[in-house]
Amino acid sequence: MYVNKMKCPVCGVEFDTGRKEFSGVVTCPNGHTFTVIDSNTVIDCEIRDWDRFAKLPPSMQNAVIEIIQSGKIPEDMKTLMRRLREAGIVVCT
Amino acid sequence: MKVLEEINVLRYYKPFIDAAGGVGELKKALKWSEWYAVKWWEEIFNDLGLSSVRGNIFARALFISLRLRGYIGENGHVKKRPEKPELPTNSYAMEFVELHESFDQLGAVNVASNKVDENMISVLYSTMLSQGWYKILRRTFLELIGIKNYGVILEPVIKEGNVALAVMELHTPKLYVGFDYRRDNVELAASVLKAKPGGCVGNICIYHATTACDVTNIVKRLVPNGVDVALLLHTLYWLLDPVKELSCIASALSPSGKLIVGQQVVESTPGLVAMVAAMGAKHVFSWKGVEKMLIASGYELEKRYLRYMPYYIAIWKPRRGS
Repeated sequence: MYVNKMKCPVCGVEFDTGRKEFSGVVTCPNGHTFTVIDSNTVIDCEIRDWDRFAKLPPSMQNAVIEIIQSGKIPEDMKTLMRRLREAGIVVCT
Repeated sequence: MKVLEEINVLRYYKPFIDAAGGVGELKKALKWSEWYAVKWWEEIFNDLGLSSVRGNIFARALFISLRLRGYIGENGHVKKRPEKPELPTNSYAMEFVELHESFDQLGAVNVASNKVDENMISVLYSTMLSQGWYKILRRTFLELIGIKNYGVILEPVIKEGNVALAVMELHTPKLYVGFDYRRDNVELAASVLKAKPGGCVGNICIYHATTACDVTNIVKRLVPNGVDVALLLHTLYWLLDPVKELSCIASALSPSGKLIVGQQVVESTPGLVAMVAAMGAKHVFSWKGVEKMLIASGYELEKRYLRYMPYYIAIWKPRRGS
C-alpha cells in the first residue's frame, strides 16, 4: 500500500490517497474534487526561447522535445527540465 | 607512468570505453576536448591577456592544463595547435563533443569575463549531468568503488542529486545524507530524490549548509557511530575550503569509514575540466595536488585506481592518530 499525503486546496484537510504518485482527479474526505499532477508529468509545455534552446547539444534538444510530446519526464531528466523552465527556455502552463 | 595509467584505464573503466565505441572512438572525443581547449584559450588570451588567469577559474583551468601539455608557453602564447580531429561516430562519444560545441557557443571570452548568461551555464551543467556518456561514467565509478558495500553514505555538496539517484539505482543504502551550499541545488536534489530539504524522508536526508563543518553535528546525531563512506564525485573542487571541510568530514566517518574521491584534474581532458570549472568549481587541482591536500587534511591513501584518465579515483581513510 502506498501512502501519498495531500492537502485539499478547498477545505485544507490533509488525507492519504493510498496510491503511488499519479496524475488525475482526486476527491478529499469532504467531497471536494481537484486535479493532481505528479512531478513526473508535464502538461502543455512548449519551447519559448528557441535561440537559447538551440544552444543545447542536438541529442539533448531531441530528448527535451520527446519529453514535451510524451508529457512524461524520466527521473534523470527532471533537473534539466526544471532548469529549462527556470531559465524561461521551456514554459509549461 | 603514462603506459601504466592507460593499462589501468582499460582495466577499471572498460564498461565506459566499450559504451563509447572503443578506444579509437574515445580518443577522437578526447582530442576534441583538447582542440576546443586550445581554441578557447587563444580567444581569451587574444582578448583579455594573461591576467585573465588570475581573475577567472575557467581561464586558469585552461592555462594550467594546456601548459602541462605543452600547447602554450609560460607567457600564454600558443606554441602548437592540435589538428582538427575527426568526429566520432559513436553516439556517446558524439554527445561528449556536442557538449563542447554547445559551450563554445557561449563564447570563451564571455565566460572568462563573467559576461555569460548564468542560467545558460546552469542549463549546460544539468545537460552534462543528464547526458548518456556522463551517466555511464558515473555508474562505472560507483561500481568500481563498490558502492553496494556501504550502508550509510554522506555526500558533501550533493549538487542536483544525480549521484544519489545513481546510487539508489544500484542499491538501497541504510541512510543517504547530502548537503549543498546552493539553495537551488538543495531543492533540485530534494525534488529528484523525493525528499524534503532540512530533514529526512525515508532513508534520504538533505540539508542546506555552507560547509561540511556545518553539517557534522547533524550527521553525528543521525549516525552516532559515523558514516561508512563520504562520497566525493567531482566535488573536491566545489568545496569552499577543502582542507578544513575534509577534516570535518573525517570526524563524521565511522572508525572504518572511507573517503572516496573521483575528481577531474588538470591532467584529465582539458576542455571538460575548464567547462566544469566555469560551471561552479572553486578550485583547479592536479592529481598530486589532490593527494597532498588529502594528506594535509589527515587522510592516508588506501587504494588509488586512476591518477587522471578519465579522472582521479581513489579510496582514502582518516590517518590513525590524526
